[in-house]
Amino acid sequence: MSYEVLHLNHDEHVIMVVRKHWIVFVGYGAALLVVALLPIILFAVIRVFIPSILAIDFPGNHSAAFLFFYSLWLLSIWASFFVDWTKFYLDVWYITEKRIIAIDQRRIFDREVSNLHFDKIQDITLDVHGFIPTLLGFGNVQVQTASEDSREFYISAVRHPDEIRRVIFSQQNKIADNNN
Amino acid sequence: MQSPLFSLPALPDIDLSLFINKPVFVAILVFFFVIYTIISSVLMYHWSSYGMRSAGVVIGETIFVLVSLALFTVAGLAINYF
Repeated sequence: MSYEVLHLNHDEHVIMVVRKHWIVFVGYGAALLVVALLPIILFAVIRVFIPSILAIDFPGNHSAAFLFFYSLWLLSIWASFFVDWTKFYLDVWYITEKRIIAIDQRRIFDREVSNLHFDKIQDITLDVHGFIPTLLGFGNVQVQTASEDSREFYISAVRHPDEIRRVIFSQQNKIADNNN
Repeated sequence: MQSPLFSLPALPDIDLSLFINKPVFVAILVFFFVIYTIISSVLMYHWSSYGMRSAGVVIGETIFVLVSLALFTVAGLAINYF
């Protein structure tokens, strides 16, 4: 993996990559699966309740025509799935020895990259709310800064939020120790 | 008295072969391919620029391309068998 695009300092390394839990993406994937099967479900329903529609005749192989349009339908869903996966995958925090590089990929053409140095961090709030997040170990992380604009950094549904807080505080303490 | 509606000419039968035939299918497929290529290029730009050559991106890109090619092949074969 190459981190050139992050423009790290020569003595800086990525020590942790924070991404949303895969379960966030499962809901969208399941919805798309239902949409993918929709033409087949619709066909079965029409066949049972309004079979007269299927009596419309046109020259050529009907199965091949259905297969042609169904392939295009699946291709549309496939592209849509990967547009969403790209947003999911590129929405990430990189934690280095010195800072957090927060990349907020809101939409495919809406991307924000922010840097937060550890000496500016005031507090970190974790929120693991509900049965499934507790079971699978994911939650929200909010980092409050001590800068003039008191900006907050927020990422939702990340894996092991406790571990993220531990790493950030550990790096913050190391920096504080080195400065003393 | 006879209804005036009876004097209207009968609706013509729509000949579906004008809209559902091989050249129309090929035109739809070509149009779809152009749109799909544009979307794929946008995705691949993001993967190459921001994906940092991670294993996840490489695997995702490979699956995306292979499945897309398979589905376009099926669409092409369907036209052939139509």
